[in-house]
Amino acid sequence: MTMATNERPSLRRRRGLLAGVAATVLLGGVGAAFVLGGGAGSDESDLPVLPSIEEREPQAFDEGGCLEAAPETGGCDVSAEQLDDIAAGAAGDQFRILSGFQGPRYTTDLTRAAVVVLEDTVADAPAADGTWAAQGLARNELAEAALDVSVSARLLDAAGAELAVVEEPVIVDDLRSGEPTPFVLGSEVPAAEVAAVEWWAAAGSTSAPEAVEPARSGQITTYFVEPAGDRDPVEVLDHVDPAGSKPHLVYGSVAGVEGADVTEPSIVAAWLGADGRVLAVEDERLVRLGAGGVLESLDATGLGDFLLVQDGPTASELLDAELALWVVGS
Amino acid sequence: VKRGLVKRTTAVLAVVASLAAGAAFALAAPASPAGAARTFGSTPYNDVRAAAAATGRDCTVSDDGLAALVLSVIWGETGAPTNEAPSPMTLSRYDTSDALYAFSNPNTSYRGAFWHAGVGLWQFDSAGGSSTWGMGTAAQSISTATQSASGFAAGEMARRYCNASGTGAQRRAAAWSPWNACRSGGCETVFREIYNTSTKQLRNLVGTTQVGRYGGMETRLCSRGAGPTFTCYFIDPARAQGFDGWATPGWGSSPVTEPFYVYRDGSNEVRVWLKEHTGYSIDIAATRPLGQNVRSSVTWYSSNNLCAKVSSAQTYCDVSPSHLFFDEIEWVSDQGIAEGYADGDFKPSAAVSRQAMAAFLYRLMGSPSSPAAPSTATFTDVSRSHTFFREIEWLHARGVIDGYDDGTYRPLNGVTRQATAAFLYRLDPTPNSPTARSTGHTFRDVARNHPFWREIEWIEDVGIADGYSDGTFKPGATVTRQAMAAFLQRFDAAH
Repeated sequence: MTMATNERPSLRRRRGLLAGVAATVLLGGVGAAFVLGGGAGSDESDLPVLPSIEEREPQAFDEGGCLEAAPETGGCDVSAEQLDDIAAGAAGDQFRILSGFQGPRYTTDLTRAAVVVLEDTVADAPAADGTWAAQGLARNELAEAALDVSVSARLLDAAGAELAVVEEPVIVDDLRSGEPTPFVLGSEVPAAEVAAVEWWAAAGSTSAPEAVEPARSGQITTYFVEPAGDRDPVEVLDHVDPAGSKPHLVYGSVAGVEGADVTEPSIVAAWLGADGRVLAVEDERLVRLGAGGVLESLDATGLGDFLLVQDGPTASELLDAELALWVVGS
Repeated sequence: VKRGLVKRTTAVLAVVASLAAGAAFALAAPASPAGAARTFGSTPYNDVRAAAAATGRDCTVSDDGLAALVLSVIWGETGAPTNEAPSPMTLSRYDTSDALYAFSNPNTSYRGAFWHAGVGLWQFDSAGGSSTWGMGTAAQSISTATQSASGFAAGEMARRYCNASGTGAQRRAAAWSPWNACRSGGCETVFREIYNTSTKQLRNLVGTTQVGRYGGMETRLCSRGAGPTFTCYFIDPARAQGFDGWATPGWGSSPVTEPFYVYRDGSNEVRVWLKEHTGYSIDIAATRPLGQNVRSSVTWYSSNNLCAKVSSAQTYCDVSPSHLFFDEIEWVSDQGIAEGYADGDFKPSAAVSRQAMAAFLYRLMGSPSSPAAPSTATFTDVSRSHTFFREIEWLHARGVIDGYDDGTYRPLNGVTRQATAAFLYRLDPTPNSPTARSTGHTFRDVARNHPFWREIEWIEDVGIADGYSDGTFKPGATVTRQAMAAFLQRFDAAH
């Protein structure tokens, strides 16, 4: 039910982030290292890679920088350098593990030079009252960071007449070059009346890639996933599973990396089904370890936990879904 | 992994034995609060302590304190009772996601090709993403080496403990919260048993040398077919060291895997179930991109062409040092008499054809250049362009083979044991008549009037063949490649 994407100029600003971006630049924060592409003016984006895994976990590597299950053999099952390359991901839309992001669809290909809707990820998600709604991914394919990105949809009936135009900000505020973001759009138009949709996305402004990095940096770790349905109950953080059918749970943490300066840090999650379309989207604040409470900020040595709880209509599909995660701040 | 569902009572004697054998650590004097001594593998214990000592931290916690944090989750995660050492090979039995079954289908007949998501003493799960354990394979999750599971656990515990606020107990709970087994406070109980907060030393642990760093996992040399070798690991739940209640059928809701191999191939963890271990009609393989959750990223294959060897002394995938004819097969290989197949196998039970036997015998005799091959083919079905023309003609010229009455050699027919006896008898430069001992008949199915009585008695006399335990020689049976190797090696040794 989607149609071709049209690039449109910026429609409106969501928040006054420019001042925040300027402050970040003045503070001189530098996030994770960048690798690959050619940066501004290039058709390839730089990737915000994590510090080397050997740097993050030195005790787990031998003097030669190897993970070695059988050290007495003198071999090297895999080197830290190889693991870093694997994490950065191969070309195209494959899964990547980066600073502040892990999942598919983070690209280095900027040939479209625009903020775009990835229409092959968009799924209809009608509201309970039958009105139209959809969710999917948009992506910044500019060489700069894209701020105040919004996604718009023109809803058309079977005759091609316009029913409504809706616009919403995307979930991840400061989109780095090549980075995807989930979005959710809704309308009061009954879903049954919508025969086609025209999509487009736009950025309110742009900034230098390094300007947004401190507020997007962090190493994401997923500890466990518990499926929805009939299973043993779990108590974690302040969550206690209900009696009866249980929700889908994802428990993990975000650790600060060098240069990280995330205020009101949150984790954003999007689950993608086998067909690549978005099944669910969630946004949760990180919480402090130990005494509990929300984590106010995340710096280079900080750590915060997250728990994602999904009990919606697609919860039973999420165990086998591909999970994309973002670190975001205010 | 569920706790305490299976109780075993075998460990007390084992503990005593291990202490007598010089275990690396021994029962410490119980201190308040007293707790039952817990048995643990000596090498895994030393690995955990080494990993704790090597782990940097941003707060004050002693090396033994960090080691105690790391150790405390293990009994709950593995289900081991206090008197039996937890097994580093422990495999999770809870997750029954369809993706974990062979071909992502729980209803096939290959339920033993099951991808256990949680592995090892700390039950590291591939959901771990960018963490070191998410980037490792099952082998790293099992091995307690510092460069593997112990190092992963110590790093995560230190990071979480030092970032937590609150009381000591709250901080420990925060350090342990990724581990399901700690939810009900069980890990705090274990911690207090095994760690003296006054002396800041571990206590109440009993070492056993019967549980090693790999918990029964074995290092192998693998290749894809006859390609270059690489290190792989063999994981067989039946060989698990320490508490193996998790490997019993009723322990959890998932199947127990059949033995499998694991290795890294580029950016993937690969697990392979060979039919020789599973009894299935096909080999099964599965790959997971390192760093990704197996449940959404696993891909299954119906073949893999994996060749696994126990040691570098082993030439063929399917002939390990424990094979009955290992020495003989290695000998024919070393001598250049017989080669394996392109897939790296020797196929020891395969039948030997008459053309292959001709080649083996020709090579056994040193591939002589004389007499030269004739310009006209002797046999109507072995032309000059035949792959084994030279070998067959040479044997014919030596009087070893003479073909059939219709002028054919029938090169693809199998070689019988009686024919092999005749070939070797004729090939022998100084064949002796059967000794007095065998003037009767040695085998109850080879009487004196058997057309190959003399040849068969001869190879028995010189020690080349000795028949079957039922007293027969089975002269009409086809010779297998392993038997051929033995005949040729013994023939050579007799000269």
